[in-house]
Amino acid sequence: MSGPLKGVRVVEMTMFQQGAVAGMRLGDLGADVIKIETKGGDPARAFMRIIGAMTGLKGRNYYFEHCNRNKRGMVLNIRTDEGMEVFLRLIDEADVFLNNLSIEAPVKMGIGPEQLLARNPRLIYAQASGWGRKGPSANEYCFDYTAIARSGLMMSCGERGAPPTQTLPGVGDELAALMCAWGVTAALYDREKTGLGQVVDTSSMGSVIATLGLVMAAPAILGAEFPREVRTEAGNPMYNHYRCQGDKWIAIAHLQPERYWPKICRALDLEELEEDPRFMSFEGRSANAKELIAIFDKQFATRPRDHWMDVLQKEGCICTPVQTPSEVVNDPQALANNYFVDTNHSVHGNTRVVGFPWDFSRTPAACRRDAPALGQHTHEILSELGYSKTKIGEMESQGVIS
Amino acid sequence: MNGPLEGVRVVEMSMFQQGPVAGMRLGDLGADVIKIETKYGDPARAFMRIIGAMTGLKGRNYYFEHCNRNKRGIVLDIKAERGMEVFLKLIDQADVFLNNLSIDAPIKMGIGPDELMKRNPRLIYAHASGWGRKGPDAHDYSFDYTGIGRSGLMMSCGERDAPPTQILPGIGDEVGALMSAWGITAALYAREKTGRGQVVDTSLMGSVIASLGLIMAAPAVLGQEFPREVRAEAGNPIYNHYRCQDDKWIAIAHLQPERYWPKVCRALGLEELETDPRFSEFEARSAHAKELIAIFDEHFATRPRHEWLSILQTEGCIATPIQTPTEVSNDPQAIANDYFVYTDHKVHGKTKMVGFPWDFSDTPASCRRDAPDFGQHTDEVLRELGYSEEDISHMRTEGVIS
Repeated sequence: MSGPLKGVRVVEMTMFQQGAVAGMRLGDLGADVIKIETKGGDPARAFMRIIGAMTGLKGRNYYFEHCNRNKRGMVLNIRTDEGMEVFLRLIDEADVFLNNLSIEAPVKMGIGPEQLLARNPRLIYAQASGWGRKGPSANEYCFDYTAIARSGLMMSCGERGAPPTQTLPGVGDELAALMCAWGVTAALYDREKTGLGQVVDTSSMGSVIATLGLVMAAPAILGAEFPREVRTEAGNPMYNHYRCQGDKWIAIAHLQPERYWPKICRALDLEELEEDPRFMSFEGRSANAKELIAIFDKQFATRPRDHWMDVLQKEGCICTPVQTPSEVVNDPQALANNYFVDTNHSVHGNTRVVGFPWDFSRTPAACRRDAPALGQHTHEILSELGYSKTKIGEMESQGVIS
Repeated sequence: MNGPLEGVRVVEMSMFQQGPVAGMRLGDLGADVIKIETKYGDPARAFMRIIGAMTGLKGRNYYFEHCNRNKRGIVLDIKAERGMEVFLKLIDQADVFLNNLSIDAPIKMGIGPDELMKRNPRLIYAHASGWGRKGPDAHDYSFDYTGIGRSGLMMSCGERDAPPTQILPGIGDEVGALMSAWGITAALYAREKTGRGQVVDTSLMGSVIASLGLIMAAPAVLGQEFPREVRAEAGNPIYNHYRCQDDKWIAIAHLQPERYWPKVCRALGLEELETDPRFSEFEARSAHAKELIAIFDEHFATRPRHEWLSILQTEGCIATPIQTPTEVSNDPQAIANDYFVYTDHKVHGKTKMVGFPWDFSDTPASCRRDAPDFGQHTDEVLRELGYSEEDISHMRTEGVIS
């Protein structure tokens, strides 16, 4: 059993995250992904040097590993005639060409959509862009940070009246990568019916907007925003989160408050509140939310989260731990569903990596390869294209490949 | 020109957001989506009554409109024998069955994966679940809020040591929907090669984890988290955001700080800082970040955002507005790329809606239908299945359809 995109050949020319993760996810789904790098390599290979020093992160380059598993890597200089010839031979046999260069760069390099689709009309030419192919900002720089800022994510998080919310880096790029790989998948399906490839552009901006979806639907359709909430004044205190002893947080989520109010009172050992006229109806709890949340805050602070999870579950209440990324990585539920998987890395041995959001009954996604070392598969791929050992050696000594 | 999934028939039995948005996105891509409701209707039809009153949002039910465009709607009681007969006829002709019921519910109703796939081995049985099909909590309730709480999103936003971040509702469900629709797309492609359907489960939890991707890769691979930033102490003050005079925020994003430092100083009219030994080099700026950010804060507060944007752009700096959802929905760049589109709504006339994250050159996504009225297409769909007018009116009298 292999992934649903088995047999699909992807050639990618990407760096950093957005394009690279799109290729990685296509690889997760079974595609054969060839990453072409210049001899300087994807700058992401130096990520830990660039950012690790600043943030105190030490150890392996998790950034490159994450973005580039399930790929083969080759080093090719397409500025030489021979390098370009190799590249075009790859394109002739490819189903997908994927890049996250600026929109103009591939056109200037002679590998724009028109050129490549003229050679291979079945090719899906996927561009993972910043701001889309049209509009006044199409050719502006775009980074994860500027994309989430302009596209509304930072102002969709945080409390009412608060400044834009700090967001850990990489979410915007990741979302854009997922939309790109999905667009490629849809174009592949279409090609089965029409026999034709096409250009698929997915941008960081468009992807963040699509992901915010419903958040954006309110101002689009209604002209009004869904108001941001303030925790200590939440309209439904039984649908809110609280800090427990030990500084861990718990969320309780009761959308049928009348049914659950007595259970909550019992679980929190606050039976006296059940009949308290300030709190005994939904409207009462809403009107006196600040007071009730203060009582809950005080009560939750007296015991650790494990205790509260336990008593709330026993009472049949709905609750969940609010987890940090480190906790999520070790959550048995996430592991049971392959949202994280343990791989055997060629250098580092047993390694946990981010897994897959889809559970296919017949064509499971899989992690088949570690991220390639720079130029690891150059020879292998050239041999597959029919180049002789002598020719390969020649190109190597001329600096066309490495 | 039609979307890449033209000709695909989706039958959905879904409510609220996660399942419906998956169906909506398949519709965006060209599929013919039939939404089956019970005679009570998808509870989302009452969204504005449920939540609008609480939040002060007034007007049209943007929630239902957003989640259910590009669908036809029928009302069918599958607990009645004839209703089940109609349902199975639909399944026999369907490519995809999509639901977001609990995992057990369809099995108990006799429409679990085993039953339906035996009837139609080409069927893609898509389940948009809460916590995945496996693991200790597969059967627990799941909501958007508990999904993002447990899966790490609330702790990936906000400053270091801050409480979990409030997040506008719906992002978790939206992400869950996108992954579901993508999984279905991949399974459709696989079916072209194998001739067989399969079960595709995508959960809210798995989808949030996949979207956080790189954020999760750090604790998975390294055993350490990427540290959350504190704005007032950001390590690179020229990669940070600032509040302008009109209370709007601007982000500046310079990852090559040496190149841009003189430009930023000139643009801000702070030329005297350029050679100030506290700030003249990256390391020095990092060491004196608090001081520099305080100077910038004071300075940005002297002019409105649009002035700073124009000044920074003239100097060739990289800057972007941090936009609220309302601002995003009016951003010309977003509109130019169809990230928002205008539709002609049958009741409300010209309406802006969330558009599409993909720009396909040959098979564009489109918004072809408003969300269906309750039972709007029941007769039409039954006629297509070959039922006579007599059958239809008989079933209506018996309450099997409406």
